[in-house]
Order: sequence, then structure tokens, then C-alpha cells
Amino acid sequence: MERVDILIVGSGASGAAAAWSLSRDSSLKILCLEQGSITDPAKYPSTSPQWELTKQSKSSFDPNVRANEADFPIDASNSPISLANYNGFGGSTILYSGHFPRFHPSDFAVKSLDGVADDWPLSYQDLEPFFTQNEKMMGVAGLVGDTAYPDYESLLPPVSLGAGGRKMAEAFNKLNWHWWPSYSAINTRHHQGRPPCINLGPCNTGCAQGAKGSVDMTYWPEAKKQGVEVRTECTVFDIVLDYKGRAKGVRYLDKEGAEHLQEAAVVILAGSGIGTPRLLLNSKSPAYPNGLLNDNGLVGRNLMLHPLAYVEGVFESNIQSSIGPHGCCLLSQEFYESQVGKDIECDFIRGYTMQILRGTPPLDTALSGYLTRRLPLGSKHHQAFAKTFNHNMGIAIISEDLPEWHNHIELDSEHCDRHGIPGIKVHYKMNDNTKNMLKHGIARSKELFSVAGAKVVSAFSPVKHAGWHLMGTARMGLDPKTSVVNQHGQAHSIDNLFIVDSSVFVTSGAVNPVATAQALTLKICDELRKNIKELVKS
Amino acid sequence: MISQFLDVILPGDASLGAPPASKLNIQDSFKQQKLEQQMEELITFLESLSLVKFNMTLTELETEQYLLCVELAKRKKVRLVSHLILHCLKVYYTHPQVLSSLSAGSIPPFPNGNSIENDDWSILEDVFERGPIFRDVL
Repeated sequence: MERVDILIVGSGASGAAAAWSLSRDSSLKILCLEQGSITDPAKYPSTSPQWELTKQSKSSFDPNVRANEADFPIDASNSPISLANYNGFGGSTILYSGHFPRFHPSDFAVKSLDGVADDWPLSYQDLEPFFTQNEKMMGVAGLVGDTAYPDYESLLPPVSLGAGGRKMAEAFNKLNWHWWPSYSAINTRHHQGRPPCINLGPCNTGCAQGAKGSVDMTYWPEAKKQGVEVRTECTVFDIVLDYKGRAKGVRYLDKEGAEHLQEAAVVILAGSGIGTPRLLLNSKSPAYPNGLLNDNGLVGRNLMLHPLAYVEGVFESNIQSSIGPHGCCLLSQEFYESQVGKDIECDFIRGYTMQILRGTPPLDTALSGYLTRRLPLGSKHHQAFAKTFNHNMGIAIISEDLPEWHNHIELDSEHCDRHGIPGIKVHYKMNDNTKNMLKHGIARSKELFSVAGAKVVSAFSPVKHAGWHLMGTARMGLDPKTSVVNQHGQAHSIDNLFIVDSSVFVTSGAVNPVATAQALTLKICDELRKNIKELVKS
Repeated sequence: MISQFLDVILPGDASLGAPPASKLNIQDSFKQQKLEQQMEELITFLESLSLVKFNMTLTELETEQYLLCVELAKRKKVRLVSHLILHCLKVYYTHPQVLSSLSAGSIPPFPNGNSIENDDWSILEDVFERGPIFRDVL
């Protein structure tokens, strides 16, 4: 294989942003290796009436259920939350909701402000231009002027609230609580050659219309035009070092299982909060017997997952709540910042987002109604169903998950992928701070539904199948003893090895991480581009 | 026998335009999913419960009596009964005829999409009035 200047491992949210950013220097030869295959939007489940069924099979968030060729086993039996991901070209953006809020300024300084966890080695202001650049590339809808954030420059028009969203917004106003239309990577008008959303709902099985900003539709067409080569169905299993201890390249297996060595001047890891540490832990050598960059034992540690609570309310009237992008309606950050010093009862530090979700689609409504005994069988079934479907709204409480050493992933040699590469085992416990936060969020959500005039029919935490947000497993910092990479995403001990995904997060914030992960990727790559000639030459 | 079971758990409702489950392709799906044997086991079990509880065969039962037998069966063989009922719900609520009756908006393959009325953002006036709520980091 011909040596390249830059090799990117993973084509998801961060890998795509890295490929686009770095390929703006047309002199660089850039290759991306992706272990999954390319999905065809024309074949997405939402093109068939049975689309809801596929969420429990080939479009499941759970790789153990989905069991695609590219998936690796994840044993989450020692965790109250199971992990969700998608291994394919575009990564988890293929199945995500597109909810796209930024981290807050305070999220980068939690130690200074609240005396917990650690500060990031960079600030919100450092990332601000990259947030803006990323939102333009991804096509983010929203409304400028949010009182919970410093000013945004511009956004696409917001996704419509719908009748259900308006009822919830009015209830927030009555309680004098903050709310704002959601930040959504969903086109609300033609943008970057993609059409606007037509309010169908099933964003989480892939958007056949191309309105959702998944990176196969946003960054990748541009990056490919700029000359980036992508090789799919290539499973990277080892990062190879040269005699000086620098990254020489990677070893990978192609679709047929043939092994290749791909050399590169610079290696960039963008395999997600679990894919990246899995690869590092699997890359053992005499210099790194416990896995690459793991001399301080931090690789795979400090896993943060954003435990969720869920509360569902049902309105008397038909509010057509199943119509529209399910995950993107409005959000409240009334309880996002630490409540210390405020006149409210509070037994936790940091905070949470209340994300208002639209109503469930037909099959979800029927199954959850039956399983919770709200929908009887027999002659009363249809009347009861009609009083729930298109009448319900949900609230997801996204709690800030503080980093803890004992929450981690490790290689699982007993459960391997199709090539015999170890899967992972997750060890995760929720702490009391998180539990108290979720309890508080459930109580406030019930209060909100009550004011909105809805009856609460379901409230629980944590939501089991909700481990989408994978962060912290190769954290960044200034001190090599307490971090894996520096503030530039560069490995402390290997100058031509970079990590650009959410593995490097120091803390988790309390919002969906993708906007921040991609902004961080763009910042790292912007700096890398300035120094790349030197790195390539050396 | 299977038709009777389907129409007991998911009968039609003319007022809502909901078709009875027996008129859809649920029976075919038992074959496709290789659930025929389990279905047979359930019907046999329901038959035995019917005789014990009501001293009648299944076909002689009133709907409410039949539903009681289903409930009793679920308590004794929860995995079998739940699995089959969930399967029926899955096929029923993804059938185009049922989706059309639900006012679920546009149905896949989604030729038209759905419209949602525009918002009046003056509803945010109360939020603006409170001013910024984020913490400044110096």
C-alpha cells in the first residue's frame, strides 16, 4: 500500500470533519479507513411501512441486536445502560436524531466553578469559531438569541414546534422556566444541496430524504471532492510504531480478511468513545504492554454516558404529536447550570437538559402501551389506543455525567468480532449525584406536564437502551500523568498520533455531544494543518 | 381457531376505521416467522383453560371470557403468550391498512410528507424578559 500523509481511522462525525478540514490543503494525500459499509438512503427502512420493525433488528441502536458484519460485541451486563452506536460510513450520525446543541461555557471549567472533575485545557471561546463553521457545514436549524448561550451567529430557521411543542412551551412560560426551540441538524430549507425536512418522523432509522445532517450527506461529499480516499469494510486492529516509537501506520483487515499494512506520516483516530480506546487497548507492543498510550492506565477509563430519565405525558386532545422529527422539538436548560446559591431545593452539583420529544409512532405506542398495561386487549383496545397515539409527548432528562475512574471499558477476548478481534466489556455505575439529578428532573417534568394539562403515564430512570453519548475514554489535558492527549488532540508520547473524537472529552456537559465533538475536531485539525508540513517531513 | 384468537385480542372498530386482526396477514406472518407451532401450543393451552374455568370449548366462549383465558394463560406461560401477542401487535401496527386508519400522516414510502403550521415566536417573549441564564467564565 502506498504511504499517505494522513490516515484517518473512522468515517463518523469526527472522522468526516477531520477529512474535510485537512483536505483543504490539496497537497496532502489523505486516506480514511472505515470498518463498515456504505448505506444507501434509498434502502433505508423508512421507505417501507415496516420501518418501525427494523428498529428491533437490522436498524437497532444495539450492535449486539443488529449484528452487522462491521459490529463488534459489547457486553454491558455490568452496566445499567447499554451502549448504542452504528458502524458504517457516516458512523452513528446515520441513526442519530440530529439534536445539535453546543456545550455551555461553564462546561469547560467545572473544576474552577464547582470544584468537581477537571477543567478542559481550552475554553468555549476557543471553540466558538469552529462551532459556527461546523453548524454551517452540518446544516443546523434553530433560533439565535437563546438566553442559555452566548450569541450564535446564524442558523437555519427552527424546526416547527407543532401543537404539542406549543403546549409544552406555554407550560414552561407559566412556570417561568427557560425553553428554546431545539438545535437540529435538520434542513428546514434547501441548504448545501440538500432538501428541507418534510416532517415524517423516523429520523432514527436513517433519513431517506437527505434532510438530516448525517456526515455522509454533509462533510463527505466535500471531502471526497477535495481528494480524500475512503476505503470501507476495512477493520483497523493495530497501530504500528517505528523504531523511534512514532506511529508508522496501521494494520487492517479487508472484507475478505486479508491483512494489510498502511503507512502514514500522521495517524488520526476518530473511532468514537469506544472504538478509539478499543483500538488503543488492542495495540500492544513491548513499549506499551497494556495498550498504546496506556502507560498511565487511562485509556478506556472515565467513561461518561449521559444517563437519561424519561417521562411521558398524554393530552386529552389530538395534537398530532407523532408528526415531525421525533427527537427535535424544544429543549429547556432551566436546570443546566449548578443550582448553588439559587433559592431551590437541590442535592446535586452541575445539571441537566430537558429535551422535549414528540409523540411515539404507532407501533412504539402500541407496544409500550401494552407492556405497561395502559392499552388493554379486546374491544376497548382501539379506543384506548386512539386516546394515546398522537396525544403523547415525552421528556428526556439528559444529566451531566461526571468522570469517574471506575467507569470504564476493557477488551473482551471471550466475545470477538468476525475477524477474531476482541469486543468490549463495559463497567459502569451511576453515582448518587446523577441519581439525585435524574430524580429532580423527573419531579420537574411531572410538574411541567401537570401545568401543560397532560396526564403522566410513565416516568423512569435510567433509560436502559440509551448509551449513545460515549465520552472521556482517552481524555485531553496538559499533564501527561492525568491525560492521554494534549489540548491539540496530540498523544503526549507520540507526536504524530492524534485523537479527534469524543474520547478526549474531559467532562460530558449535559447536552448531546456531537456539535462539540465536531467543533473540537475542526479546531484540532486547523492547528494540525498549520504544522503538518513539519510532521510529514519528519 | 387462530382467527377467533386474533379477533378477540384485536377486534375491529368500525367507528375508528380499525380493521379486525383476522382480516390482515397476521396468520401468514406466523408461517413466515415459524411461529405456527407456538401458536398451536397457545390455542391448545387456551382450550384447556376454557374447559377448566368455564366448562366450555373456546368457540363457545363470550369475548370477555376468552380474554380472561388469555390473561390466565399469560400468568402461567408469560414468555409464550407475550411473545405471540407482541408479534400480533407488530404486524397489525405496521400494516398499511391500519396505518391509513390512524391519521398517522404520510405513510411510507412517503410520497408527500406532512406539514406543520408555522410558529409565532412571540411566544418566547417571557424567556427573553428573564435575560441570560448561562454562567460566564472569565
